[in-house]
Amino acid sequence: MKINHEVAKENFDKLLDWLSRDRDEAGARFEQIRGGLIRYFRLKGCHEPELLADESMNRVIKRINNLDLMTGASHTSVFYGFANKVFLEYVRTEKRRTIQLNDVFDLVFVGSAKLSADMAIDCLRQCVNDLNFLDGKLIIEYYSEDKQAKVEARREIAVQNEMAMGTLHTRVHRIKGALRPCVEKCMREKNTKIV
Amino acid sequence: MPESTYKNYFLGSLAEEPSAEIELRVVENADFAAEIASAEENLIEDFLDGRLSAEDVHLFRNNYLVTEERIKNVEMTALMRRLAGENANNSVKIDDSNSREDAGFFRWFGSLGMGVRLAAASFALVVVMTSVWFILRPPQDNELLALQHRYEQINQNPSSVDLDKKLSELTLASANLRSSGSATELSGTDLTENIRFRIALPPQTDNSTTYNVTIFRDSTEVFRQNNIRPLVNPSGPELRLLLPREIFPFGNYRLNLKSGNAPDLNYLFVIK
Repeated sequence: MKINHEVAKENFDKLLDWLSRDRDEAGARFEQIRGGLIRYFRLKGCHEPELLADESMNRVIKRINNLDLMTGASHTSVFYGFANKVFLEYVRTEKRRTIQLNDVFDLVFVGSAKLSADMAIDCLRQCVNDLNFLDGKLIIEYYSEDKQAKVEARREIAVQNEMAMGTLHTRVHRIKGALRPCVEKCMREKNTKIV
Repeated sequence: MPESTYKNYFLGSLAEEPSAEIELRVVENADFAAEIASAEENLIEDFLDGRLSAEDVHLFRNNYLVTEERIKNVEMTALMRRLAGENANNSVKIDDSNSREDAGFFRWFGSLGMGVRLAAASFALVVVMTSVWFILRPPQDNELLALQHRYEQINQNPSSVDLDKKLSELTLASANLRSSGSATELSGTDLTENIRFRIALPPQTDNSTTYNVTIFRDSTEVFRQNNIRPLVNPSGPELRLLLPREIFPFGNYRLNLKSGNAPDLNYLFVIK
């Protein structure tokens, strides 16, 4: 975590004391909450959830002396309150884009750069190719069916790979998350942006 | 929570209090975050499938697609589906091409637009590259071992190897058994998912002999099968193997047979 140097050590110690009397436990709890805030900002579709989580944490530390810690509010709800405000500020700075969607492939073409779908697909192919064999196979199979057929197909994939549906979703999500920066990098290298 | 609640959350049609409840749970619980991420993915796919109502599409565009990150995420899903769709189409057509006389795949392929052909060709390249990668993995890789084990079981029953008549087939004679040491060739472009190998054995072979089969691409071991029994036909003994296409990208191969103290037999072939 990037510590804001304006945040006094005294405040930080006070925060840790609030989290737990035991310093190790307090540190663990601090990291746990930070992880939760990262998940929150990811859920909200923020670009750099880690930075926003750190900003929220820093704000709590900074204002710890002004907080009424005796209200019985849970630790997470206090942090969440700050994170919520950070998110609202973030959204205000986000440039909203209007998307004209005529069909699925138009979605790939959004943005001023007007992507070449073939170029994007080429990049994705390269990136899938760079994955380990199992991940590449899994993600291609996962997206092979659409509409109603996908439900049954995915259930089958989960059975074949001996994993629960939730695990399958998580794994696909993770693979997709890893593919995106690769595709973006590839597109940049081709002097085009993905958006 | 029912998935419709998550959907309403993302569409911005859930009240403030339950929305905050969801968000707080995400902060507190990683498993719950995974669950809602899965619901989000379903919503995106419903949108791409055109399964959202007009009202939901409106909400999706105005309340969900409000950050660059989400837009990019939807784009990635659309791309993934397109790539996977091309893969599925290719597989179907390649299977159709099993009958060489018909050459249906090539007719179909030729009838496609240039962009699609290029995309399909690129995809074929990806398949090959993926296979290359697969082969270059260290042999202790668990998945490769599992694949070897699976095919070993198939190959220990010669009759099961022959069940499917529509297989690419490669007939091999060892350099030790024939005058010419030249390699047999097989076109890699129209291989079926599994390839049947018919491997000629020395005439004195009986069906109690077992063979350990190792396949090398150049000097790298790519696949191994143990304890495979031969089939003694009136025309001579042979070993039949069913092997996965994915281990055979273009290249030069050597199939090595070992049986007890008998001299090794080597068979050369090329996937072009």
